[in-house]
Parts: sequence; C-alpha cells; structure tokens
Amino acid sequence: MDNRPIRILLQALGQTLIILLKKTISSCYFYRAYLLLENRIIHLYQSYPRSDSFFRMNAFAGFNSFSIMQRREAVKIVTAFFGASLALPESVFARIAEPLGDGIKPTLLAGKQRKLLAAISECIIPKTDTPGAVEAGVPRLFEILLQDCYKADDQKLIIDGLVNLDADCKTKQGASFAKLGKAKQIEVLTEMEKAERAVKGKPGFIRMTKDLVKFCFVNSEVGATTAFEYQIAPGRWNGEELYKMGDKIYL
Amino acid sequence: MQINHNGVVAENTFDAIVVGSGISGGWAAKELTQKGLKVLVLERGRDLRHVVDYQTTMSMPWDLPHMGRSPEESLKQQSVQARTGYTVQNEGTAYLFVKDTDHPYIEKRRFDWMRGYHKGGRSITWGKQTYRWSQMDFEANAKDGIATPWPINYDDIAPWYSYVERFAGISGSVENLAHLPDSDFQPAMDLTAAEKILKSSVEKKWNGRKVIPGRVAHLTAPTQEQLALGRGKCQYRNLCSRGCPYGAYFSSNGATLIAAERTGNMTFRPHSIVGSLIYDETTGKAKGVNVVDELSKQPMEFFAKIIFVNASCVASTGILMNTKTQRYGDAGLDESGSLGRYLMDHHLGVGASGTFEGELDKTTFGRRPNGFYIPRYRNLYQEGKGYIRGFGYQGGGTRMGWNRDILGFGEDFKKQLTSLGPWSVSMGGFGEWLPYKDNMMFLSPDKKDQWGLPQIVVDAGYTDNELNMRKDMQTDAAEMLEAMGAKNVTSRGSDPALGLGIHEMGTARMGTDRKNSVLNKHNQVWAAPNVFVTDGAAMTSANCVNPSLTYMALTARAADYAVSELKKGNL
Repeated sequence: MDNRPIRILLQALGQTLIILLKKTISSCYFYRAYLLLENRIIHLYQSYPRSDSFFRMNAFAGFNSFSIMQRREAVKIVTAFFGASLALPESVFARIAEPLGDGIKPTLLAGKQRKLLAAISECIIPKTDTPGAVEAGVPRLFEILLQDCYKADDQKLIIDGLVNLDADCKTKQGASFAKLGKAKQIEVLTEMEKAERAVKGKPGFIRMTKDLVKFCFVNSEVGATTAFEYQIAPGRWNGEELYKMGDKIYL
Repeated sequence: MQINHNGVVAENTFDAIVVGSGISGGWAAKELTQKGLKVLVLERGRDLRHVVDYQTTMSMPWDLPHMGRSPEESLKQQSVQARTGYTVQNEGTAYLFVKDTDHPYIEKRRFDWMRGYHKGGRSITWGKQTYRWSQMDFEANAKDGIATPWPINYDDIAPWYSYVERFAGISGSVENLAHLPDSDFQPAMDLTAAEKILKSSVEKKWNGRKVIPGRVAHLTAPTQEQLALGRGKCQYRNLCSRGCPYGAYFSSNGATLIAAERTGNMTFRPHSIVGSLIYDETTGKAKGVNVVDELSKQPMEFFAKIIFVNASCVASTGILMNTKTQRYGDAGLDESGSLGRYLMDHHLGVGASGTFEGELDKTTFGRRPNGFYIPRYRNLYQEGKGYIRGFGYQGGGTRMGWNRDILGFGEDFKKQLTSLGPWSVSMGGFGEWLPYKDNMMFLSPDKKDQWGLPQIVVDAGYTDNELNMRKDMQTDAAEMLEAMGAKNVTSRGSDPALGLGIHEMGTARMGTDRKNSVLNKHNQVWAAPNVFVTDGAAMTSANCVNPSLTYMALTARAADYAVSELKKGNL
C-alpha cells in the first residue's frame, strides 16, 4: 500500500505544528503542555512508517520549563488552540492542572530550624549562574520528605543535628550558624563532614542532610531544568554519546 | 461490552472464560477471540484502561507529591510489596501493586508475593526481559532424574515462540547460542561504552561466556501490525512501570487485550474474583466458574465450554484446590498429589558492582529500560561446585551522576554534582530454583479473606543447591568486573527469598501422566479436560531465564489446541 503522500503530508503538518508551538509556547514558557502535545503528535505520526527522522526532532525539546502556577492557563490555551482532535485524555490534563504535591503542608520543623536548614541547603548547593537550593525550593521539599518519607529515628537524627549545630556554633564561634559569613559556614560544615567520615557506620547528620538536599534539588522543577536538563521522553538511545566536562547533563 | 457489576446479567454463558487478564490471560483472550469464540475475561481487580488510566505516566519528578519517594504511611499498607525495593517504594508505580492489608495470605515460611490487581495484572509492571528456553532446559529434569520430566520438547514450542514474538515485539541481538536460542528480533538496544569493555574482557578470558544486550519486549522497529494496534517505538523514558503511553513495551492492556477487543468477541468484567470452578460430575468437565463480585461481594456464576485459568501461579492453583468434587475429593482437581507442590521462583539478590574509569569521553543518551545479559555458562562451559543447573546475570554500566557520594560544599560541590562521575558497572544473578516436593502452598482450613474465600498458605524454602549456586553467582560477578579493570569492586550476597524474583512457578505442573502431574502436554487439566492452565503454575522446572515469554508461547499453543479440540467435538 502506498501511503507516501499521507506520510509526507503528516510530516509537514507535524513539523509546522511543532514550529508554531515552539514559538508560541517558548515565549509563554508553557513547556510542559507543549511537551505533552508533542508526544501526542509523535504518537499520531507513529501510525505511519519511517518515523525515524521525525523522532529526532524530539531532541530539540530543550526549553526551560514553565512554572506550576501557569499550568492551568497553558492547558486551556493549548486545548483551545488544537481542539479535541489532538487532545490527550482528560485525566492527563487534569493532573497537570493540579500538581499532585501542592496540597502537602510541612509541619515538622520549627521556624528557627527552617531558617537553619535553608542556610545549610544554600551552602551545599549555592546560586551560581544557575539557581541554588533555596531558589529551587529545597527547604520546603526537604521538610515534606523528611516528615512523610522518613522513619522517626532518622527524623530525630536530622532534627537533633540541626539543634546541635546551632548550639555548637554559639559555643565555638560565638554566633548562630545563620549569622556566620558564607565562608565560615562552609568551613564549619566541611569540618563536620570530615569528623563524621572518620567514624565508620550508619550515615550521620551531614551525609543524610546532603543526600536529601541533593535529591530535592535534582528532582525539583527549578533544579532539574536549570542545573540539569530533564526530558520526560528522550526519544532515542545511544550507549556511546560523546561527553566532556562542562556539558550539561540530562537526568 | 462491559457488564455493569450492579446489573443483573441476563446472558452469562460464553464459549470460553479466561480467568485473569495478566500476561497469559491476555494471550488467551486474544487467541480465543480471534478464533471466533465469544469470550468472557474475568479480572479480580479494577479496570485499568490503556493510557487513560496510567495516572503518573506523564508526571515530571516534581509533579509527584514526594518526588517519587513513597511515604511511610502508604508503605505500611504495602509492607509485603515493599520487600522488593523497587515497586511500591516508587511513588509513581505504587498504585499498580496491591494493598497487603486488603489481600492477606499466610507465610508459614517467608514468601514475597507481589501482586497487581487490575486489568493487565503484572504485565504492566513486569521487567520485560524475554528469553527462550532451549532443548537442554526441557530435558533437564529427565536427565537429572528430579521432579518429573517435561512432556514437551523445544520443537513443540519453537514455532509458538516465533508466533508470540512477532506479535509482542522483542528487541535483541542474534547470537546463535545453542543454550539460549534467538528470538525473532527487532533491533537490539546497544551496549554502553563500559559494557562493551566488559564484553570484550569477559569473552576473551572465559570460554563460553557472553555479554549481550538484554532481550526485552520493547518495540525498536514496530511492524505494521503493531502500529495498527496503536503501539509505537520505545522513547527511552524508563518510566515503564507507570504504564507506557506509547504502548512501546508489551502488556495485555496495550497489545493482546486491544486485539481481543477489536474482534468484538470479548466481554471484559473487572471486580470478578473467581473462587472455584463449577465441576460437572457426570461429564467430568468444568461447566463454569463461581465468582464473587469484589465490590458488592455477591456470588455469581458464569458458564462456558472452555475455561482458561490464568490467575497467576499461586492464585490459579488456589482455584483448582478450591474446586471440591466427589470424584477427586477435597484436594481439588488433581489425583497425582502434585497440586500445590513444587513451588519455584528465581533466586536473586547476589552479584557485584564496581567503578570503571576508562571511556570518560563517553556517556549515554536516553534512559534505556534494559541492560546487558550474561547467559548461563555454569555446568555448560565451566563446572559449578556443589550444584546442578545454573544462572544468568542481568546488569548495566552507566556513568555515575548526582546520586554518587560527593564530598564538600559550595560551588565545588555543585560543579561535581552537575558533572558525570566514572562508570558504575553492576550485575545481579538470576539462579534456577529446583522443584522440591516440600515447597508447597495450600488453602487455610479456617482463615478466610473479606470475600469469604480461603486464604492461601505458603510453606517453601531452599536447599544447598541454591546456596552453593549463590556462592558462584557472587564470586563470578566480582571476577568478571575485575577482568574489565573495574575498581572498588564489591560483591553482595544474601539468603534467597522465595517470591522476590516475582517469577512464581510450579504448583500445577505439566507432565507425561495423570499420576505425576496436574496438566498434560497441552496444559489441559487431567481431571477436567476443558480446563487449561497456562501461567506460571504449569511450569515443571524453572530454568534460570525470565519466564513470561514461555507463558505466552504455551498459552497460544494451548488455545490453538483447545479450539481445534472443541471443533472436533472433543471438549
């Protein structure tokens, strides 16, 4: 069966749609809705053979992400723009419009501990040419995960660590951690890490805190799309991709 | 058409009933409907519509409430499911596994029973590794004089392997190995730069050892038939266990049940828990099934000429055991004494990992839902000490990323965090568990579940054969990593845990005679010839390769036989 004309038509249509979308959406930062739609177009296109060149186009989906706040609008605009024919299932849209995690309130830490945690997070992952831990919302995410996903023992280890850190700083440095300069803060933490690593056994306060800060940063919207590149559908596999230090790594 | 579970069913008689919609039930549904039979597919859990109901499939990491980590509170309800470490711990996939608090069973000895009660069953969350058995594997029991001989040979199943592979779509490389026959492949997923070093080092050093791309049920070059079902090529997301919106890996929901649906011959009924078969003492056949509605808890009956029991290994055997008859008594549909016995799995959790500091100008692009495979070589090319049979390895080698242990703070730390570390290479063995008579399941005489059905009791363990094999699994893995020049090589070992492989097999085995087995060579129940069991329960031995492909082939083969017998008037 010769479906070449259909294929060419669909490819042209698909490319036009994607270019149009790229222009509209990148300016609006409605990246997420774009990505979903692009996946949908690819899905449609797959009904026809020889789709390889089309898939490679997926690789240019490298926009910055749009914020959670803008999603409802993005969904409305995109669905209105394309009508029902290209629409994803309603359930999928509903879930973009209402991110699953918005409803959780962190209640585990006291106000002082929160400030301290924010200062430590920023010492671990500071703002450089890309956002740091605080801008990525790590302290809030950290607290939500600590309260919901950690056992009581580990919660206590981290909370005690925060309390002790501040007390130690007051004794040894004469000021609370938050009031020390950035360089001094890093010096204090580095010493603590060295001391902790000298003792074998279960991970201590610094290791556990760093691990969770890393996890929250890398999986946050800001971290995953600025310091790293996240693609929900990479579209191709290469076991020997060239890499040099400094290349942005994808997750 | 779907019957409203609250409604009164006027017509409850079909040509065939398929119990279960997982990987083998899906195949039974497809084959029987395509051969023109009106088929009722009974699923004990909820409906799970393809794509539409994959609620996390498009979630970004930050869309999940805990960015992918399951809260302690939900883990408490899934405490057995949590034993695997990669199913319900993942917030994006936890919804596809049962709440253990709702579905109790009794562990006389530890048994890790992973279950997904929804349309498609575990075909949504399976590992997708697909390997053929060889003639050697079908001969093994007879040669070793253990358990009972398989009633079939490789030649009996080979054409059916091809048949199901062409439909399902298997990615892999042609290797021409006698002990691991090639499938009808779509293009393989390439090894990574580090895995290629492992391959050349291992193949040079040891006779008969091979490192090959994993063989997986993923589309890499979809056929017209697959595209027409709405299936597309793998997008290398490695978010498979959330359900694939592209239908790129094989599942009942994305492939066989769509094909069955399109015939117009399938009636799918969710929330339908089959408790037992309705046995006709005069004909010696089963005339239907007893169902309890999951939601209303009302009993119901459905009738058919042919019944395929595909509820998964332990559950299928539970149904046969709960079918009490005058002819066979309280033991269920069996006169051999083997029903419920010879429970097997693959034992795993043993292997090694290390780092590799060459090839640093290379990394990987995409998230490959696969890795490398090292086919069995023990007791083939090199002898195993203190055990029969053997094991294979699955593993992977990728650059270490943010997740590695990084010392320090501040800008230096961030720089390292956002750069790649050395390669991490690791592998874990999948070992053959022998069929032991004393590894058994039975129905609790007193404890029932909330639907009034007897709870299943499992009492099974391991012997020196498994333990001795695990020693080689551990040391060989470390030796092979050292051969490639890996550093920081550490090996891991533990005691085997039955069920953790999620490859439960046996308990209603195939055999040559009604005195030694529950099923004949066509997966037909000796004690009720119009009943077929074609899931893991049917397995006579376990081999060391992932079993799903063999269930698919056995199911298609049995369905073909069942329909031809039906047409001849023999059923």
